Amino acid sequence: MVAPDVGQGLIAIGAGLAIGLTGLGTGIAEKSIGAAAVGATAENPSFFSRGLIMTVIPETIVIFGIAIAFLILGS
Amino acid sequence: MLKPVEMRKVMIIGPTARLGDTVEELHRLNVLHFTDTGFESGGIFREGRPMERASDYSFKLLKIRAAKQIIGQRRENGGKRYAEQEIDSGMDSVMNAVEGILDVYKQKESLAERIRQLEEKRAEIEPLAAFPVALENYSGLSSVDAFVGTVKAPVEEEIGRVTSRFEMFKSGDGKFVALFADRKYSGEIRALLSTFDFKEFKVPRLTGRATERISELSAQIEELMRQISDLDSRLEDISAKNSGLLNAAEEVVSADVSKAEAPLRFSVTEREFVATGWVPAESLDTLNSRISSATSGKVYVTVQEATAVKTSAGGTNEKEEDDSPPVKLRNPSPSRPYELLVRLFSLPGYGEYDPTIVVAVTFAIFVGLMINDLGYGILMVILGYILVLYFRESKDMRQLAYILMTSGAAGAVFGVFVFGLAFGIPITARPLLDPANFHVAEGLVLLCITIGLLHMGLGYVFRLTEGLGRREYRQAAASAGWLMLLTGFVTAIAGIGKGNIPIGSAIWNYLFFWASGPTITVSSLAVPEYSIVLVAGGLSVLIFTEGAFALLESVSLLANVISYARLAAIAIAGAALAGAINTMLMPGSFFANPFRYTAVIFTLILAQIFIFIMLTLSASIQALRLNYIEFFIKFFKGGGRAYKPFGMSRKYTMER
Repeated sequence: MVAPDVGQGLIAIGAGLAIGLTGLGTGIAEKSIGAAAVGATAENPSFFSRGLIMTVIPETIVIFGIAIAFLILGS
Repeated sequence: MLKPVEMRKVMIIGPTARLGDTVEELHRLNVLHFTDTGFESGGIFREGRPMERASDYSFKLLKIRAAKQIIGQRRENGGKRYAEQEIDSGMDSVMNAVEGILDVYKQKESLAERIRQLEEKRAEIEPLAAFPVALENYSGLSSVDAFVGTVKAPVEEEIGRVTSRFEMFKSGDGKFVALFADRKYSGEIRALLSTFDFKEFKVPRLTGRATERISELSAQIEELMRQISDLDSRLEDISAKNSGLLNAAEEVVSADVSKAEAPLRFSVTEREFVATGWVPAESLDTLNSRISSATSGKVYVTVQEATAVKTSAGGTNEKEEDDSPPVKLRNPSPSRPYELLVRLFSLPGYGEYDPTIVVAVTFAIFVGLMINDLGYGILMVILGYILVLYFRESKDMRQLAYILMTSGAAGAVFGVFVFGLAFGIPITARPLLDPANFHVAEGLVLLCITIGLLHMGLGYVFRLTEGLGRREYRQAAASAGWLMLLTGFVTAIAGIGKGNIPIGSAIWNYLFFWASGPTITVSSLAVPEYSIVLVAGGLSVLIFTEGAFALLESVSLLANVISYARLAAIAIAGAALAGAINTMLMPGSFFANPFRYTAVIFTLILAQIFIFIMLTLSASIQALRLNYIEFFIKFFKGGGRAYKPFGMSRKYTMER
């Protein structure tokens, strides 16, 4: 049996955590913005595009996660 | 092309006797956007009065629309256009058809009401159908009283104790009863029944057996139903003959209404009228000559001070907004449907850049890059085509469909030449970029960030030229500073990545070769000196122009840059998801058993549809977001007023 490379495994776990946890963070942030945006759109449909934009703003967080994951995996 | 159409403010002045001709000609020209003349009424000026015919026209329009509502908009005109004279001279026959439709509708309504009454009546005697008693006997007997109604429990036995002189009929469950008893015992029986929660049932004053009456009523109802369906086919007949004509008539009459009401937008005195409004600069000559020839030179069009024309960007003050020129976008036809995406955010202000072309190009490229699959791309095109077929009438939907089709086509092209995938299945032996290879993914991220530099850089260039155009040099310098900072960030990332990322060196050699030179090692990363110079230079320009707060904002610019990595992330995620589904569901062994075979095919199709929907949705939202947030924020203010010229575009009729 080939001895598993513990270091490489840890790197993979780190990259996974970077994406997974930032994904969670994004989800939590988008949850409340999304709820408010849906409410606002229900009252005034012309708010739709602005609501959509505001809802996706926290997505940058998970993009950061991806960037970090790439840095970890690439190093 | 990059800016909204140039507008001129005009004032139209003439004798009141020529008001009608002027309105007629303006409506035909369809170029003048009316504004408030600004003359206080109460002085010599007052608001113009609608022409006398206005209420007559409005009434006609109301009837035509009601008739159209009744027959429903089922028929296209088949491209047939009526001459306006044809409608005008045939208006009597149109109105006859309209009255006919309204009349049939009223008849239908009254028949329906009659049916409702008969049904009510039938429901009243239906419970009595089970009893073999003529209806007149429930009330007409001299020595016998009838008790008809519901009781909570069988009551026959108790009645028997009061008297034996009774006859009783009851429904299957014994709760609905018809009791006939000697009048002498009425009082006692009533008291007894009340302990059984007796609720009296009102028997209608009719004669004969209930069943006979019911079948009579049913026959009547049936007859009325038949009459209604006769009317329906008559309606169908009228609408088949006239629906095209009705559409055309509605168009003509609504034009008449708006012409008849137009004087409300004029200021008039005893003898003269004045109107002000905006006209596209290129239509000014036409307006001038056509008005003059239509009124034999009695009405003048004068252009007002051009200095009054300011940019309307960001105007929130209502009064200011009313003064600003209206905005009419003009784009070459391939990118025109993308105006929808810009309008969804906000109409550009007058004098601002119209980003439609940039949005069109980048949206298609972004979505194409993220879809990156021949199969899904073709599906998007088909979806767009279906939308076109189903929503011929709605302009917004047609534009949306066009956007879907163009970006789907881009996705298909990318799918063939970049990832080499169709529904996640490799179609080329050696794709340009293999999404399964980690280093390729890194290269893709770098490529996307470079795209971000071009995209956001363009935004800063727009703001820079806008600043120069308005002689706001501080704004121009700040934009230049941001541009330096942005270039510094991206060259730094590209410089670090060029050595160990596959397409990194290609990107560097084609785009950033000018920045080659000595590097400085920052925590084991080799950063090109040029990048550091650019970042430092940009930051110092920003501190001078925008203050120290810009240092904080520079971090959000870095976040914007990294934000473009989402293009790569979604492209790879989509390809990986499709690949995973295919690998799981397509091993050969499944195909041995016919039951498994069908189940696997079914699941595979469902999963592919799911991936297609997810991918299309997130690709378009992200492409939109990169434009709205990363790009627009750099220069775009919006808040323009839409240009709404007085007149109409005709669909069913031709001009007089």
